[in-house]
Amino acid sequence: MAVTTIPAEFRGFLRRSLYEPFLILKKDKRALAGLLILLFFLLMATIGPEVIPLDMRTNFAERFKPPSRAHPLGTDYGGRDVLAMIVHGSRDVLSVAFLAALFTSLIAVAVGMIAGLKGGMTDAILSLVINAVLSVPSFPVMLIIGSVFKITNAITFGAVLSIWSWGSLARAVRSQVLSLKEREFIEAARTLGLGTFHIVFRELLPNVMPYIAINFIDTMRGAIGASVGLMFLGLVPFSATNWGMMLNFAVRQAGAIYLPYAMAYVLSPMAAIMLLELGGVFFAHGLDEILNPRLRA
Amino acid sequence: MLVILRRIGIALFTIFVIVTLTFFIVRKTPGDVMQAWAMDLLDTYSMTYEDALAMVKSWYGYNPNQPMLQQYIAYISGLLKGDLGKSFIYKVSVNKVLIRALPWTVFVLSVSLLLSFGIGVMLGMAMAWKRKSILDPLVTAYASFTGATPDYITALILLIIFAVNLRLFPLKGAYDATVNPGFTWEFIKSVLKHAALPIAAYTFEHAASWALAMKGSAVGVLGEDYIMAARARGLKERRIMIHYMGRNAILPLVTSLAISMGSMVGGSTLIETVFSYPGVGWFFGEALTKRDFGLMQGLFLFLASSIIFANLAADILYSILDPRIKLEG
Amino acid sequence: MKRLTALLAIVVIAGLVASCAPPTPEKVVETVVVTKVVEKPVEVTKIVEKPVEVVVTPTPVPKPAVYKAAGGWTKPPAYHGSKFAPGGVGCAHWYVFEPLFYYVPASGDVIMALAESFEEGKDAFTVKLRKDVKWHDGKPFTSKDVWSTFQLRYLQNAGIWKFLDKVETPDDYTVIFRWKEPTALAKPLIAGEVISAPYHLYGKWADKVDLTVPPDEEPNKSVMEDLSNFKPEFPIGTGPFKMTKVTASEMILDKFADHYKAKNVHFDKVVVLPWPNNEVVWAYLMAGEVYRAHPATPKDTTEAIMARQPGMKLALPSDLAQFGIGFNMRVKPFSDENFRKAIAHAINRKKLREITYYYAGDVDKYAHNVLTSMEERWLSKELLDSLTVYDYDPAKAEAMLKDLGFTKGADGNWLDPDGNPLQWEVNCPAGYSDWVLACDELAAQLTEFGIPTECRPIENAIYWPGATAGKYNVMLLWSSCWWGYAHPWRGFYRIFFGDTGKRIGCPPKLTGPDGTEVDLDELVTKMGATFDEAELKKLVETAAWICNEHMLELPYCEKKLMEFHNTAYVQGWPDVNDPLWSLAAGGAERADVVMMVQGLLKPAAK
Repeated sequence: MAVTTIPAEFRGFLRRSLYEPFLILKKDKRALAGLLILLFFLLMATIGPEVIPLDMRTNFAERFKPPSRAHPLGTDYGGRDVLAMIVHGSRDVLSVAFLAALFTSLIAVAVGMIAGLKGGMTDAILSLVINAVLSVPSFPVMLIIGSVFKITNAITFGAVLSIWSWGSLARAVRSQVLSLKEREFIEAARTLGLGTFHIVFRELLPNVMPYIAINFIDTMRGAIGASVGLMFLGLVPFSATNWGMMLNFAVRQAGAIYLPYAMAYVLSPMAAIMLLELGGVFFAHGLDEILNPRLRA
Repeated sequence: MLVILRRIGIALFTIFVIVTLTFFIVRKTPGDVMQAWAMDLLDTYSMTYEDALAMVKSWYGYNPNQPMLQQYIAYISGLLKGDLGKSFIYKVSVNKVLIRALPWTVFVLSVSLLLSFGIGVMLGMAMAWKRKSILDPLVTAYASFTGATPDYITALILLIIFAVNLRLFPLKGAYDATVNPGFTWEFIKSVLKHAALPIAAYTFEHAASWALAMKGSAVGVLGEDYIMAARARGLKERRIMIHYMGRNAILPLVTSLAISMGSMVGGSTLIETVFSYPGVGWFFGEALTKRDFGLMQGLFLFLASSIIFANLAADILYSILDPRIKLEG
Repeated sequence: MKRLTALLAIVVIAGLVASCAPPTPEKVVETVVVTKVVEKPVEVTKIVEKPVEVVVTPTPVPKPAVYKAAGGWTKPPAYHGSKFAPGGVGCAHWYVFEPLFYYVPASGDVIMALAESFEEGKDAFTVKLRKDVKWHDGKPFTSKDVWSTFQLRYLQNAGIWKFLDKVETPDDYTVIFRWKEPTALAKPLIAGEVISAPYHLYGKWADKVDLTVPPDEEPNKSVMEDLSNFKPEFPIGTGPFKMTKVTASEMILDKFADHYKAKNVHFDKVVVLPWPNNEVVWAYLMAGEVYRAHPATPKDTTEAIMARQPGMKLALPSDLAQFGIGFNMRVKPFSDENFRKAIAHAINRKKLREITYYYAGDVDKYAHNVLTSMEERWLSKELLDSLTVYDYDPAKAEAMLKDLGFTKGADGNWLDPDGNPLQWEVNCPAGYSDWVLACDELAAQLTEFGIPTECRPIENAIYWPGATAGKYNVMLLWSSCWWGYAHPWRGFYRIFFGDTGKRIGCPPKLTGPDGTEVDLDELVTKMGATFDEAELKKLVETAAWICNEHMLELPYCEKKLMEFHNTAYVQGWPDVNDPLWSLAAGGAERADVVMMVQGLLKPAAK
């Protein structure tokens, strides 16, 4: 049937990239848990808003209600359902955070790799750029960007968030590459005549990936916080369902941290972010094994 | 040796480029700070807007009509003399600000940084080594929790616990106001007591991310042949974990630590806001929101130099720690 | 690794040692039991001869009576004691400096301070000074100090100099303010100026000021520049407290023993805690670390504070300011006043106030810009009856919009007469979180009404100039603000041509109640110069009518200062409805100081 007609090489590729990882995930409970959590968030972001209605009208009398049947996570300072806000906020929050982390990682890996591999003048120039991005304050840069460039969708939002935040990661990637490039397996690959492409993608990248993977979720989390900052700078419209903003208002404006009965309201956005990070790190755990076969003990 | 000298040269050039960049960027930042400042004063001093604006204009020691290039040359020539400049608003020299506020920032942040790094690294090593144990999910959960809690909330929670409920630690400041600064045991004790909560807040907040980073790096190292070889040789597990895995895994974290150490001179808003700790962070904040170019330039120059030299030191350290790496000039 | 572990161990042990150290006596600054009224605070000399090794509770000495408040100031080393350069004095200036007299906005009463008596005339205001006042450095207070203060205030463009021609000092204890034109605002104007520049310290600059030349021209410009380099360590004033220590986390003021009313003051020390943000001040209040503060607090947090501190009471004097929604009258459709009126009916102002600033006063009927708390005093019932009421009535709003040619599309959203959908943005300064809340609520209300609106806070330094330049169509602003003046002139000036007026694009002339065009500039100027109560009222009513009937901007709440005061630590506070609390508008410490100097406040008996 179809299976026999697939060429052997492609079958091998499929096996390596889909079947084996799947087996690993099945065995590693933690990675599986992580994957499930991430899928849960994906579901929340995609179909959640269709399933749970959101009523953003304020109702002062209903404020700070503890969890109940009607409001599983309680209500906020305006009497609005916290669960609905989190579900509806997830779409924007997750997409922007994901894109920001994606752009940051891409830029950091690219810059770090090239700087580390090429060395010499290229490294010097790229290091200068990295240092500039690390030392020049982001506040004025963001304001200038905001005055020139209007953020209209998740992609532009993610891009602006990533533009001044890839420095640290790039430096880390660069140091890792510097150390890896002198290793035997790289030397061996070079001797064998395997091109730069192979070296970068089959040798270096898998070794750098665990660090990137853990950082990815971290960067996502940082992006959620940074997006609140951008809202306060006026670069993006205010969104009351943004988890970071919910937390900010809960503590700073509503003083909910002083109200024991409003704990669900304060803890919910924190729990959402925390769960996301947990899922990501657990999944990354499985990712380690996929990328680094020597760990599959 | 020559390589190191060349690197120092490059570092100085980098600082120069960054200083120039910052100089022009801050002046191009949109917003009229004098109007914003006047609006802030209105409420506090019960003035009309026009009065407040006039007062602010009389105070602000910046002549916007002076051509930028001229300002730039004046600034650079001042720098070469070691003068970091003067705050346009407060007319106090940046050097003075740094001398007064920097030691506190460095004290609290370096202790916090080293503490959180140390704890994090040890946890991370254990997490990577004992892959299947309960430690990993536990620490990960802790990391996620502290990650999801922004710094100001952690600090506020600590403040509430220790202010409203227990009274074990002082709530604000660097030392008790009735004690005079000096090399006395009373003063040192007061300083340590006042540093307890800020350091605790910072460490609690950041230790876990070091742990995760260390784990990530250590996991990469674990697959190495020398680990297998060490095991085969029958070395003690702990020794392998620390001396073989740990020492190799910590290398990429050294660069992060270097950047953190360098950035430390930017102050910590978290600590200074909630605990009113007298660090440089307050001045950085003022410089940006009030667009005080003089203060901004001086402080950010200092910060940039700190970061760049910290990176250079990290690179050098890295090449010493890992003999396979050549220090490129 | 071993070294790292060792280092860590040392650090951790050091930390533990520090925290386990026995509490040292110097930390005790709590309140006291003052059983006898002490004429002068007894300075207890510490027994220092032999340091006693055993840690024992110290021999009972009368603990100093400490008053704890919270406020803001510039951090050292940028801090100094001159009011004439930025970074000086900070919130403590009401404790350290005094005006000639205090003006109580709620009652119009005057409380004497440095002045013994005064005489108000059309062209001049004569003040006789007390003869027993000393500066904190011991020098005697004379009229020359008043003169030099006002000279230097000229350099700062102080509002009083718009009316003032010169300040004369015929003798050491008499001051005559000569007006350029008659002004009815003399009392609040003079009461708003603290005497902060003693001649013996500031004289050399005061002498050089040239009143015939504007402040930003020579020689005044150089004088100002030179003056801004004068940075004494602490402010020297005449007030009941003098500053002794300033750090980033504390301001300590000691009682000034030679103050002319020192025997009324029952506190030896004032300690001011920093005010980084509201959440921290709430923690301070709950912990009893601060006895009086005025953070803007939501209802539930207020109740939590009261529950934690059963002795806490709340006074709500009006801050004499309003928050409002402004429309950009330069742009269609906001330029049409009927459109603005329609929208006014679509906004639920009471709800806006409830969500964002619960304890603020309601402004949900009119838009006449006379503060609701002052309505009775300035506006007659007849006038009020003649005004349009802008109550929350979405049905009415709909009807009015339809009359103007707006239609509702299939999706329930409004289309303008040309068929274009309406889509708005509400802007506010991002630095005020309660305004951001209001902005969000307003956007939600408008969206529900059928005009999809986004909330977009803007960084403060960009917002205010942007608003003045007419960049924002629907914005949150300071509305009518009277602050320390308690005179409607102040509020109307702002709405018509002040910063608010510029932002909404208020035209210079508008039709009045009798149908004729009124020149707003003339109207407001006359208001400031009219002494006749009846005539003043007429002018105020005209201005109020104009604001309301032309729907210039829509105020939504009257700011009230939430004066928390803890009776468990300090007693003698006036009743929460006492007009004395209104002194807090424009300077909360002012109310404190007046209460203290009148002998009202004492440490609470334990």
